Amino acid sequence: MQTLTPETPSDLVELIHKSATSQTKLRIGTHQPIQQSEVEQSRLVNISKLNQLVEHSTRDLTIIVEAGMTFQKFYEKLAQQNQWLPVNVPAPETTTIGSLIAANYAGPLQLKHGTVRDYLLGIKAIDGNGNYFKAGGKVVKNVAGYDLSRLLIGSQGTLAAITEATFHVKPLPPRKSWIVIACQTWSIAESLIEFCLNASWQPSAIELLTGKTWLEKSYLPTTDKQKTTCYLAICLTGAASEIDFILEELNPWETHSEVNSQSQIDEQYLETIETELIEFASPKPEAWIFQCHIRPKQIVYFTEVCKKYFPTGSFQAHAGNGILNIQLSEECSIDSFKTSFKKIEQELSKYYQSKINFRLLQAPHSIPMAEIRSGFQYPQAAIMHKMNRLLKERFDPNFILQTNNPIYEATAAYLNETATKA
Amino acid sequence: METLSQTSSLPLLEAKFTELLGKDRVLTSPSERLVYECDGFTLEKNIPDLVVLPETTEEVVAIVKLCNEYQVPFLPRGAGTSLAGGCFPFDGGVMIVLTRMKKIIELQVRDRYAVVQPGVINSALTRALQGTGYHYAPDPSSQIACTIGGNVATNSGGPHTLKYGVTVNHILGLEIVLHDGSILELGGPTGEQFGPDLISVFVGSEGTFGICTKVWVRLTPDPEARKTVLAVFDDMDNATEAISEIIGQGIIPAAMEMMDQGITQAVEEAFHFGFPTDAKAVVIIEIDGLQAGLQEQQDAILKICQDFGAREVRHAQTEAERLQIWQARKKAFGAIGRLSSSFCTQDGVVPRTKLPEMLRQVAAVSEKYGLRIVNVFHAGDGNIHPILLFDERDEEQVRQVLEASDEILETCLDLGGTVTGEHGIGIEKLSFMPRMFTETDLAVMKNVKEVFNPSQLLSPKKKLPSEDIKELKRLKPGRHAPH
Repeated sequence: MQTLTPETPSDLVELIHKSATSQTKLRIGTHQPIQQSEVEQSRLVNISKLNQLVEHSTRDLTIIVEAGMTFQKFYEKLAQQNQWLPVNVPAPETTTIGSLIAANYAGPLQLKHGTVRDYLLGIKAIDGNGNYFKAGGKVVKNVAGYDLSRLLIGSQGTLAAITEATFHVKPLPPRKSWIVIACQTWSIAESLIEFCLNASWQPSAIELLTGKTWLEKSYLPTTDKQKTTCYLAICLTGAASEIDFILEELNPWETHSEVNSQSQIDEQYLETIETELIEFASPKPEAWIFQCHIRPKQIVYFTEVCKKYFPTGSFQAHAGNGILNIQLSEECSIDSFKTSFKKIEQELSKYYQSKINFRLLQAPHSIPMAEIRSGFQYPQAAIMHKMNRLLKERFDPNFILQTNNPIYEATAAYLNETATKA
Repeated sequence: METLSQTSSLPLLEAKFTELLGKDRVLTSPSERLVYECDGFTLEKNIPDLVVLPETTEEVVAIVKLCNEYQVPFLPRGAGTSLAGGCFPFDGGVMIVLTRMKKIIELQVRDRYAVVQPGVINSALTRALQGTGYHYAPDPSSQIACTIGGNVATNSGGPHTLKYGVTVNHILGLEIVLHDGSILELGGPTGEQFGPDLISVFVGSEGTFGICTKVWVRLTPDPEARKTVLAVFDDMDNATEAISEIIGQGIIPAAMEMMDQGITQAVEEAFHFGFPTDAKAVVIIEIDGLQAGLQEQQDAILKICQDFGAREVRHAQTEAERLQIWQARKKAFGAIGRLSSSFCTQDGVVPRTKLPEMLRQVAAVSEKYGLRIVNVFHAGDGNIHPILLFDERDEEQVRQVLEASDEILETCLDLGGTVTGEHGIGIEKLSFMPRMFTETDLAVMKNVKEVFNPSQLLSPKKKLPSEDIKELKRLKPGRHAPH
């Protein structure tokens, strides 16, 4: 696969423009795994040289960077000024700012701190015609023009290649702590989540962890692992006085008969737990990862039922947000997942009426894309497919940007099916 | 283009609407329709040919399909409190007024969301949540009148934007009736979207992308405690620098509002709150959160204000005192009537650290044109609202206000800001769009507009400049309603 490395935004404009003319497909960035078909058909564009800090107005809490800067470098620049962007990004040493926006990465911290949408103020980007455009600005309130910056969030690079982004950032909290509670029962986990969500303080994250992966972790409480049904990992951020107050509020739970143990994660393991909680959704290439969205109050029961049907799986729920990531081994197949999922839905419908949205985040590399495509339909209404298609046609009429992408795979599959039926 | 009133379609359409909605919900007489000739931007006026008042999504769909069938322009309207002409009926047509769609459909406190129809008044949602420990955070100053649908259309802000963000940060899902009557549902209780963030691009599209008929909003936990500080300065620069320093030191207040001497004097004259009338600036700073960390923050704020030369810094000792301070801020616009018969409010934004320079420039413009300009604004966001006072009977003053306003907004752009932070482009600021964006930027925006609104029958000629809009020459400044 030919790799091109533009050194300036103008180089990238020229490259996209030429590719549009010659109808050469481009794969910009690496936030989606590269498929064999792309190796043959596309050119890889590496934007790592567009990595400069453009402006950091520390007292305005705004920063402008080129999109090829890695999140790690970005995080370090901010940390030097005691600031941060409280968004969780997997593999920060390689994930670029462009990918952060395009993939809309969000992890445990979204409960209190939100997602990229809450911080992105402006962008510069190049559409599939080679048009270099900007949207938004560098002030925190701005309603001039359509918000094309946020439109590109989650677009997975299918509409435009981002070259520069402006963010509103936050002061780094003086203290951060993770508390892990080993729960004997699902019901105690549910009570604890309720308690945290109804408290006068706001946790930054509440993670519900269960399954093989988590039981193997040495930093989690070792006592009574056999008796532990699930763990709750609670993240607290704020002033020291605030954290002390919250810890006192949590203390009484430690003696609850259904709580095996409750402890603060040791300083030496803080980075490890954070990394693993963020990386869970993008682990070893041989795993399947499904992400389900459900009403937050149903998350504990949903996780319990999922564990029953996937006994060898591992589970991580952003419990306050109603998001469950399910990690299954390579032996699982789409068909078996779908069969089990149907049973899960039936079991849940006894108690809850709301629908569960699920989607595939990752498939083992050994599974051909064609199989995934034929076996898995992304949950979209017809009108959504139409809107996605229309936007794609406007931004990238030659279909040269990230064409081997789930959004348009799903759209194309849907449109083909509709055409066949017609 | 022929307007609806010039065609034979009008009586036919009227009959169809009456059949659909009943006579009471189709307004046809000129006196009934007059109310809808403009919003808070009163410079441009045009009476819509028909006004319809749907109560359900299905009725909105049927109305939109009829408008398409008869090829007449149509546009949505909430309470009409917008300030830039976003719901001005440019070519007449059918105005779809959503104020009767005012049901709060669901309040799910445990899951932190509510589902509302677009005509629900912003403060009605807050009232409905009282006692639950949660609230809906966006609080534009018009919140006792403005609707959630209108907030979505304009991406409304408010004093508490500084900590809690604007409307787009609180929208989890939308049900939208598109230009052709089809229904698009985005997000939902968990805010999940697959693909481009269409919710974000719809919010703030000022009714040009579709008609929002249902909104899933995020609910925010009430803070355990609040503290409100009032700082009095003898120098504007010191006041704005103190504001910048507070945030520079890592404190993010819930709100940080500033009133200059002109406004303080007017408020005192009208309401006697006990504010010093000789001070150059009064800054209201509110912090909220856990009681445990709040005293520390308040002490830091008091010290910064003193370090920057505040001659008096006090904090509200009781809830009554806190409310009194906020009442003074909220009544500021009401007091302007004492200063001048006509006024024009601008809505520029600059990076917070540029506030001293910006306010010096406002003062220079005031002097240059011999116009009185007073300021009350969201200082923490850098969102200025200079209020230009004038007599609209004096043509020369009118011309000067227009020139002075443009000069102030140009300065906002020169300092890296924007010409609108929360009022919107509507029709008022169309002329600024080519000054902020290149032809390419505007062409890409137009592409997106054409995806949502290919026939351009929906809210025509808004948000983006077009050939037709060049006919609109501003002759008078907009006389804005309080906000």
